[in-house]
Amino acid sequence: MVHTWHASDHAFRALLAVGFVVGCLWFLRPTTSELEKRTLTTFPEFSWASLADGSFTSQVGLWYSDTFPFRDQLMAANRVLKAGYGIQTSTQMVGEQVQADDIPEEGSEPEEPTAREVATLPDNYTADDIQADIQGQVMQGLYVKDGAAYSAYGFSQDNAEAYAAAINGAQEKLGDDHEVFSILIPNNSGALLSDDELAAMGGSDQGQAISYIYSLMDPRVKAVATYDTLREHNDEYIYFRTDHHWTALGAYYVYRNWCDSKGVTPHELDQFEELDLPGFLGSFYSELQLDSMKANPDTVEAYIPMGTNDMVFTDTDGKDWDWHVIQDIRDWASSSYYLTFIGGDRPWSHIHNPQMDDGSSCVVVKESYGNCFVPWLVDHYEDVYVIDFRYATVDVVDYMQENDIQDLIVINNITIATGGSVPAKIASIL
Amino acid sequence: MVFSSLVFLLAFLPLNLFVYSLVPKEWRNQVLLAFSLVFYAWGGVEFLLVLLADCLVSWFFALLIQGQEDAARRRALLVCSLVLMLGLLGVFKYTGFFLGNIKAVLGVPEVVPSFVLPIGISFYTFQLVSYVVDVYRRDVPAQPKFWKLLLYASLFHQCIAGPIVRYETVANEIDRRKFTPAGMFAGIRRFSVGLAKKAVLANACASVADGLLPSGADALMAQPGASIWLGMACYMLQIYLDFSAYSDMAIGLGRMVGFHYLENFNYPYLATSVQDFWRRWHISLSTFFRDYVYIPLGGSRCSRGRYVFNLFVVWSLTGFWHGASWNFILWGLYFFVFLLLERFVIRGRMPKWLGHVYALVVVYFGWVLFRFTDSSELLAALATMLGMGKSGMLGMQAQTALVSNVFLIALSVVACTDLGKRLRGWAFGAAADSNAMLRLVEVVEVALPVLLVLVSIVALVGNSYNPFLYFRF
Repeated sequence: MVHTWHASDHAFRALLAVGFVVGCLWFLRPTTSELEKRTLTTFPEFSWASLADGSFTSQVGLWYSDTFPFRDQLMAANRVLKAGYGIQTSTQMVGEQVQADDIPEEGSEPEEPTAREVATLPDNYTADDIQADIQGQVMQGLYVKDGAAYSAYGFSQDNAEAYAAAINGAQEKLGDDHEVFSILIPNNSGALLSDDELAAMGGSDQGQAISYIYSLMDPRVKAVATYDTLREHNDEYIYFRTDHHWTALGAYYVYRNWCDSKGVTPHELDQFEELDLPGFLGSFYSELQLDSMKANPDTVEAYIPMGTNDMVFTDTDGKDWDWHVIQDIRDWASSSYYLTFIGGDRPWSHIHNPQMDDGSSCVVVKESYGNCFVPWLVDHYEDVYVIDFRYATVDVVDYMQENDIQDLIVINNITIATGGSVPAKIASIL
Repeated sequence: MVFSSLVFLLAFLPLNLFVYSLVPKEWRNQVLLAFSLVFYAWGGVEFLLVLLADCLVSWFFALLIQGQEDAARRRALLVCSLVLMLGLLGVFKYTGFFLGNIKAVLGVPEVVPSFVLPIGISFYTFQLVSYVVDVYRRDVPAQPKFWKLLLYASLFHQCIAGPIVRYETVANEIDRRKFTPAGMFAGIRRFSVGLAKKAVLANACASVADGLLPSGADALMAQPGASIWLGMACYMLQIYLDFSAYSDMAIGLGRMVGFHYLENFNYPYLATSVQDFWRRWHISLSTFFRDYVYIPLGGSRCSRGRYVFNLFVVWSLTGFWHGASWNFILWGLYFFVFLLLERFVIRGRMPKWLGHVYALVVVYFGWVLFRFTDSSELLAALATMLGMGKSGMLGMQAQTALVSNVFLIALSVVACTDLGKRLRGWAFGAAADSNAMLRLVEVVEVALPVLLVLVSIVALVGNSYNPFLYFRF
């Protein structure tokens, strides 16, 4: 057996030596992960304090592992390994069962919708905190069927009231001279799945929740119908399969309802030039890495506004960028194709439509669900201002009053709108 | 630093093995010490001071005790050293717990201070306590050189997550240990098995468990009962695979350089009683409490009342050692009750198969107590398991988690048994009679460790979820 012992010793040492050398090849270390849509851990800045408390070395360890050369290939091998853990059925429920309060009857409480005080944010709450909060909620309980994932929804009484109170507060401050629109978008599960499937998933009835939240709003707030309309069109491509967002087509049907509320005539789909980006594998795929999703990726279908396709956005560093409302990003990573709409999630964006000169304007307060809705508004206003509440600190009502902006449109997904600290964050800028 | 991290596996360990094999024999201890101090300081240089202070106390007092003939003075010196060492452990680990409870009753102090627990303090403090007590008992001579005692306490193989190695186990090997190809091979094999157990099985079981056992009483109540049952089963697998993997790796690393640490686990889930379980689980901790608490208190050779008291003390301390929280004390006393039951009621009359089922059920619910440090979460989990949650008993999550991890769970169950050991024994037996079998065994013996390390590297790259449960102790 002696030669076996020696052979084993040599093989083990050789493996570690190869690993050591590869680990030293710093120029092969990746800095971003396309698959996970994130920047990989960076090498930490040294300080004596961080060395003393262990945070420096802890970060070095994380950096070493997170940016190891050939990371993507090794992670692909890991996926193969994980696929062998069990049997992958076409229908699955991944993650925990979402928590939910009972939804009261519409308008049963509170009697005075504006009576509730607006929520306040925790101290030192950053955009990263709220982003983590949102992402966690959307991915909490996923029903997977035939290569598509569906998010569960859990109603929260307190957050529902807080969200309505935030919008009521804005209406109160703006008075009767401004129109305030509230658009709450259901998750893909609420719009697409059968009642039996929704019952198996658990969680709350999204149609009932949206109706209830709308019932808490100031009667002057124009609550735009979404749930029933989207369910009526649920045999069409109104939500992605591999991503948690809705499609531009889903947004289009809600846009038509908004036009009814606003009292304007909607444009027809065939009036728009279309841009298609096939091969999109979105957030659900990043989370679940299912082969059934990879085999049947989504297509991002975008419709270019007629009035203009130009816009300007300000990034989180305060730098302005000239961009397009619908940007052709087919050369980008296919996982990022949802960024084709209004340049993605930006603190501040402005679209000026030179085809109009009536001084009409609106502010859209949104998270990423609003991105594919905004292009439909471009042909109805001279100026559309877009604020992603996660990254913005501006006082929206003050800004509207100072700049004589007429309409406020608050558009959010139901899970995100009534989850975590989102109502408080929205209230903080309204 | 944890063994199952890439920075340990592909940077620290290769360097350690390379430098260790390069230097002359007389410098090998110094090399081990230097690497051990770097390993420990990786978790925070400031915590090194606590380790050094503990070592200094035990080294100094052990020498004083050895040089003292007067029994009363020897005892006084022992007490002094124990007060200092256990006091340091108490300050870091239990201050928040005691002051928090005092505040809950009396309303003071207004602010409960919180200390960051130095990594491994529970392990190395017990090691050093055992050393001083053994010197006091004249079981071992005091170590005259401070750096050698520091090497014993800080040795990166076992310093931060056990096993709790007694000084007498390694006293001779610190100065006179042999490096042999057989030892190196045994070490590599043991380390590789432990690494794969941790990186592949334990981490995956942890992921399933955490997916089914959310934080917060409300979230737990929202789960179907089956999710909690399955989640706890995966947690039960995780905690054994995780902790025993660390011991495997520690023992393996020791063997690579000639140290022989005692076994810390002996397939505890094969136990046929709770008493049997504790003879097989975290053996180094059980024997510590047996030798330094239970027997000095009188053990079982005393009155029934005294025996019950002795057991009560040991199991309260066992629970408390695991964490400064009431649920850990409850967890210890839970086993105390079953041990009394076995001693006075069952008295060995249970059939073996039934004993096995009974032990697994008791241990399973023990882990429920262990998992939930918050009492409202514990009650919510138990209520949900009984079908009193908001989602009833069955749900798609548990079904999906089970089906999509069925092979992982099956393999993890096998890894909790001695099947692998038996299979290897059988293969060696067959190899004695067959050259072809011998060749096959040799190939497997060489390839398996490399394969296991490779699979572990694959599982660890990009994996930010890599906890070691026993680090908090």
